[in-house]
Amino acid sequence: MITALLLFGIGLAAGVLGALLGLGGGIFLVPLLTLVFHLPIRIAVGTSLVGVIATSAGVAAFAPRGRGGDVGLALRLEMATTAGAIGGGVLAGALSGRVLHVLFAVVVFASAAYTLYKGRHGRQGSIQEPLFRQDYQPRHWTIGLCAAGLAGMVSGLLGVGGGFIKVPIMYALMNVPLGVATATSNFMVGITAAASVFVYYGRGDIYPMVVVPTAVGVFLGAVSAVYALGRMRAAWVREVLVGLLVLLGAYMLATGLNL
Amino acid sequence: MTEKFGTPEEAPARRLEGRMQKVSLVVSLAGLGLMCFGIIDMLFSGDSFSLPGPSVETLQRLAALHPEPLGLTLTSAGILLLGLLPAIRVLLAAVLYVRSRNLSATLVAAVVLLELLLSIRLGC
Repeated sequence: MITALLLFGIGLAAGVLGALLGLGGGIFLVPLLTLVFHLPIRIAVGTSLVGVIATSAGVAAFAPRGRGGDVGLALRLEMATTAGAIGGGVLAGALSGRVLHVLFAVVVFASAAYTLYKGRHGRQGSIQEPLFRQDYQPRHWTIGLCAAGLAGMVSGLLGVGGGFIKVPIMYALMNVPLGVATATSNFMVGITAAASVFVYYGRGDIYPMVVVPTAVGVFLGAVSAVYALGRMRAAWVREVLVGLLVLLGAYMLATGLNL
Repeated sequence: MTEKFGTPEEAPARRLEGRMQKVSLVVSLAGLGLMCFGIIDMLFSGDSFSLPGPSVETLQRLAALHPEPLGLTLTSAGILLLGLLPAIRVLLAAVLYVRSRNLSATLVAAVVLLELLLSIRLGC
């Protein structure tokens, strides 16, 4: 029972942080599940994909009206992302656990850099430009689609939402306002995770005893984050988070390199 | 250029957002409910809570409506239902695009749906 409560707690924290930062939560779930419970990385990734869907569902079900993403933009980018996610899901079965650990460490470090970037731009954006401006025209579609495909591949391989790739590309490159980019990413991560979760399901890498308490925790965490978002300042969360991500990345790298 | 179906001024966008919100709530609660009932049934049937425990039921056994053991079947069905939610949301968007006669958006939604169906096929 303590194990179930621990899984629920880890899911709850991942759901809160994933929804607050538009990341999905997988970036925290995979290292914590391997670190705390010593689960094989494929089981952690399969669990994380269900968790990412739960985060996306929680945000979609409880987000305030008028704060939804750009569904047209999301679906266009998802054509590339979903294809990448299927490829990543299939490829993950062929790669060794050590390679996956090292890849995950690289992604965690990139995610820490993204979190710092988003904190800086989010603060600037709240002063200089509205987060949910509507008179934008997305541009640089070719680069956007390539980046979306890469985000999908990373998601399928490592069980993360890929929001840390999608949000900066949409915001910095495609001229999409930061608030719309984050909401669109929250919509997209669910579809991307769904594209590879069936591959993991079919391979038998989904274990109910791990998935259920984690997914319930993630869902409740994401819902809490939606309600907390309007009341709390997220800046300090981001800074603590960067430290946590660097530690988790270092652990995954050390495991992958057998240090 | 993209159709901003997410912009708050547009009525189709509001309709889509409202329906997606309702569908997300109902399907995710149903999925999580099935998962929880399944786990409780597994524990009452004598399974101990040990990690990683048994793997999910195969899609073939679920499709054959073979509810033995019931707890594992319910949990697996709940996980699948939650996994299908994003596809249901894309389907909902496609239906609204068809009704508003937006051919390019309908085609894009159809491509994403086909890719999701391919992933389900790979899982079988």
